[in-house]
Amino acid sequence: MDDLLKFFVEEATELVQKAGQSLLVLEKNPEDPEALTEVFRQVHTLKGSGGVLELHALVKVVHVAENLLELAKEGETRLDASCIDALLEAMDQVSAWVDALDTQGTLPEDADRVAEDLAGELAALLEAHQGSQEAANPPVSLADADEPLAVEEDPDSSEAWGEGVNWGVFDDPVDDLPSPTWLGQLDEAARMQAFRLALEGESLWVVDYTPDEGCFYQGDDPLLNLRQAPGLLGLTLIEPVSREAPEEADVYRCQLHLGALLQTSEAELAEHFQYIPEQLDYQPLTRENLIQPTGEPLGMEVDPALLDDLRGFWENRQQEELLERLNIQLELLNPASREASLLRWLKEVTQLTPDDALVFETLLATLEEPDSQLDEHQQLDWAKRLAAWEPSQQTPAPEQATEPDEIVQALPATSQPLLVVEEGSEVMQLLEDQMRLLARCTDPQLQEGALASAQRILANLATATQTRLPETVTQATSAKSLHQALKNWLEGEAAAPVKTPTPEQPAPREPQPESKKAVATAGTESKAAAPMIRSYKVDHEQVEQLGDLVGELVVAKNTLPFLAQRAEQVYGERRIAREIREQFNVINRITRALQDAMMQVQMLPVSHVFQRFPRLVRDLSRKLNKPIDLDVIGEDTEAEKHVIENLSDPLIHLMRNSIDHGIEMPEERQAAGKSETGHIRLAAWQENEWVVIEVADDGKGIDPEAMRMKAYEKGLVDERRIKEMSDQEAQELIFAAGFSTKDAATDLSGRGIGMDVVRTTIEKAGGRLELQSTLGEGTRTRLKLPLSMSISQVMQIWIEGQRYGVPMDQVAETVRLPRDRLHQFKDKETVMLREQVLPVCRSRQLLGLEEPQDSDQVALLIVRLRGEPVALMVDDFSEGVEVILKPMEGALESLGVYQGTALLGDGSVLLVLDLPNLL
Amino acid sequence: MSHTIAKDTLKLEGVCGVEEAEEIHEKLLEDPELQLDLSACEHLHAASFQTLLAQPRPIKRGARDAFIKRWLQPLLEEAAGPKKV
Repeated sequence: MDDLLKFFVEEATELVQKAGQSLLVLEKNPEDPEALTEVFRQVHTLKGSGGVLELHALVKVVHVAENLLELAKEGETRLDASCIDALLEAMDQVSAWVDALDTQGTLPEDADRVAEDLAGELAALLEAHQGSQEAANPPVSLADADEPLAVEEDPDSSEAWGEGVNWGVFDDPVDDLPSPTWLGQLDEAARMQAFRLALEGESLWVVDYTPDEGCFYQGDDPLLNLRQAPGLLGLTLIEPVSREAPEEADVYRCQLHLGALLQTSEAELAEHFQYIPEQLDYQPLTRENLIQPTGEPLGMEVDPALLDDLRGFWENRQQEELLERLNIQLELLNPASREASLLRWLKEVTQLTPDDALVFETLLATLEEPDSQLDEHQQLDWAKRLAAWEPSQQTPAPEQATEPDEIVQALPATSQPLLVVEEGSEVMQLLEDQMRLLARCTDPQLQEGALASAQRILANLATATQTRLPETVTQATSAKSLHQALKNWLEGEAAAPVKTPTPEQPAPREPQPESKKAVATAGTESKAAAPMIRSYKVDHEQVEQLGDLVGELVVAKNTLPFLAQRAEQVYGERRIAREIREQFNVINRITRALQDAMMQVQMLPVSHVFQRFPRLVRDLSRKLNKPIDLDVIGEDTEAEKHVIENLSDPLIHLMRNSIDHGIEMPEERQAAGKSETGHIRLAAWQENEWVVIEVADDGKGIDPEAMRMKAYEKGLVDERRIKEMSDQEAQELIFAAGFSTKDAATDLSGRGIGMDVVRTTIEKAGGRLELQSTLGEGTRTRLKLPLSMSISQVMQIWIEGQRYGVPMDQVAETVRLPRDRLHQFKDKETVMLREQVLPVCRSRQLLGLEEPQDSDQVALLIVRLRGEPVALMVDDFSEGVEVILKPMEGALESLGVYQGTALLGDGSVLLVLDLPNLL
Repeated sequence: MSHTIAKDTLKLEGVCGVEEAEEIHEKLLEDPELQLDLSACEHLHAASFQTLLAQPRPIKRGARDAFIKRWLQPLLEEAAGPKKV
């Protein structure tokens, strides 16, 4: 599979899953804005990525789904149950397609037809909902619904696919770094100082510091960190500290959220905060963000004459006049006013970056119409402006244009490559516009202005494309000669073959002459290009391989004690043996740490399995007409990936059983005095080295009498055994192979093979299953699985000169007793141990070996099976070892005697017994 | 470090550590009229700073320590609101 498709499968799986979750939230609360935005975003991204891969069927469906969601998001309609159903169905279909892509690499053949149906269904809903809008809103047709989403797309792309679909690629702003709005809270002096430094090319960083709530307990002092931070230029509170109920406040819970501006290198910054990287977000400063007006508005309009003057001086590059005018005005205004602040910035900008048209014009426009320029925080949104900025092409009024020589100087150096103009490009149009302007102005005074204007635009064009213009053009001193020069150039250009590609548009940023300013941006940009990567996306196979290698290392390490033993016993080198042991201790420590780290990497929250249950419960409860509430607790509990994978199937069985067999119909529940709505609790928690999952329902519970009857009818147990059985044992018959108490098997829970499989799966994975059920009150099933499965502790035992393993967690103790302590009780051998009678199993008998010569002593391994102690008679015990248990494969698997094999340090193979199966 | 109270003023001295935060918190709670004297304070631990922000008070004597004076005091003053004239 190619990488792009692989990536898509990964991404889409996640997106579909999340979209499904959000839809379930929406079902409960159709107006939840967060869930709406979430699901909209997921569907939108799906569409975009699907579009890239040209998965038309998929895009068709998600496109209509997106339109429907868009309508809801804009508050124009409410998602009712039928919408949610249809959307969920769409997501299911997408999920099925993604699976097909994963396995076959393409969409199934019927995808187009299915897509047609689904899209039609959704479109019908969409239309119905659009119809339901208020009369004030004109109805939107399906095609029009594209409009709110339309981005600046290449018109060809949608035509080529012929569906008028906006593919929405690359327009997702979600990943963009938010611009730090708090910069405006820094006092003006600090911002101006930083602005100057930024212009000088200093590297400035914006730091968003959220100290850990418990950092005071760890001896951390965020303010000391900042006091000692390199090059502190600004410090402020991003969010104010709560002043509510100070008498109840916890003074040792850190509530500070600090913003700082630092003049330093990224490396220095990372080093200074190296112990708390997770509490910090930093990004290079975009210096325009510093330019924010402060203070209260004057409450009256600024004199338009002043604005005209300022604009005129600036356009004519009369810097001194401009500064003088600004100074005079500043003396007149209240320095604390917002207008004064804007003027101060104008002054600053005029002095420092006289060519920055974007900043100058924005500031002037803000003076003129503050309300239209400032956002809700009374700030200027520079990110938007910088992205949208294109150099102004308006020509100044001709009579204002003077001193054309000065402008010509701004033309870039001749070291740049010559500008190449392509036929029909925007550059060509721009140049032709200039020629028309020059040709039209015949009045000498107007000609002068037109010349100045054209020269300025040409200079801007050259800097924006980082090219130079022919000398005949740059050196033209009259409108006529410039017109001629342009004409010659363009005609020659049209004849000459195009050699180098030209950017079709001038760069979006305001053109700048080669100055230190350009150096400044280049400096910060190179910093921005090297973001700190905080997490990796690694294929699970690679992690597993790494995990296997760590496992191998653990086993290899275990050869060292053998080696030491050999050195001592075979070669008589005691000193070498001791040194090997010392080395072993070192390696042992490291591998343990490595093993722990590896385990941490492979840990996943159980939510990976849990997240599908809300949907399962919803669907089943509808199907069966049983209202059911699901409580999910402890989703964050973590366990190793394999454990999580092993959990999945058994849990589905258990959940289905609870829904299908456990929870009664509403009428029955009412008659029994319970609430009509059934409750299922799905909980997970960690208990030492175990992860415990509990499924508990408040349904009818398991009737031990019914179980006994059923088991007898099916011939699973004989009459005598039925009478002996405790209620608990009878209930546990549910796990017996081939058992089902419900006569008509539904399509939900199986036909009596389910619970049997559940128990075997869990036990194979080294886990346990506990059942507790009270008739009429409900059933609780607990799954206990080891946190990690990769490395197991195994106790070695000897039988007939052969070493075998028994999983350590099954071993309760080892005892050696005189043979006469064994008693025969009817046909069973037993032993009395601490006033408890234990059944004895002879391992040789189990393995079909001959019984040994009677010795005086017997070695008993007391194991716990399903909570019951059993004594296993073995020849001898040996020490415990850590091994990687490999499951049996092929013909050996069906033997049912061995759980798996493991390689020992000395190279021999250890067979690990499957005791639950054997005994 | 230490802190003293004289004439309705809480004077912070030296390095104001984390252990101080609780006491400052209590003092401020006890006396809502208490004002601050930062002139002898050499460093304010974040916990103490946070406490002062949660119960902002007028600053009678400003800090001499450059860091506090330049960055923390303005935030404390802002939290306390405009000075009463």
